[in-house]
Amino acid sequence: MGKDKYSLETDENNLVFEFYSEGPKGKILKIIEYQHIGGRFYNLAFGDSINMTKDFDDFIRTDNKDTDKVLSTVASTLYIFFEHYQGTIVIAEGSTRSRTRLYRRYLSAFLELIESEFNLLGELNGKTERFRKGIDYKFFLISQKI
Amino acid sequence: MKKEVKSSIKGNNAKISAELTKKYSGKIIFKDKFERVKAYFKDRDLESEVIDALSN
Repeated sequence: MGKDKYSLETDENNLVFEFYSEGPKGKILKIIEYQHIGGRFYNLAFGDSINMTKDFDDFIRTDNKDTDKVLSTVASTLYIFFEHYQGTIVIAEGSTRSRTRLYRRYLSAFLELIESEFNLLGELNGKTERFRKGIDYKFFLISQKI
Repeated sequence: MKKEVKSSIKGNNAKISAELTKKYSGKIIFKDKFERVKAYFKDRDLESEVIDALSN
């Protein structure tokens, strides 16, 4: 898994982040949005700009050969988010089953590292539990250890 | 290696952009996703679920 990441820009509330993915498909604008869904829960939404317009699509499969770098960049925004929104819980779900599986693989690979600083839970069929490797969770819930 | 990765991920800074602030102020960008996730957890006591999961 890569340690490289892209440079980020954010809004003054640290709720929206933008960066450019660079690869064989060119420069693609990516956006990460932390959406307040209630209480101390925020949903992490992530997708591409459609042809560099103001429209965004979270179903696009870019295939710009930089998946690790993109995921590391998304992960890095969690640190920034939690710094500004302490005590919150971030919910993450892939827009497709394959993207959710990709997140699961990434989280599994970094589990020891993640669990040293974060609480990581998985949600499946109405049940929330501590994240375990090999389970096809629908959602992931992440909070910072205090 | 893990420390290196950690500091690298953690060490990413985001430049605050007035342009982004203006562009996205008061907007929900991924509206469908927002509605879908909100609806999925609508009748759940997620707070209690999290507390229970963390205590196990």
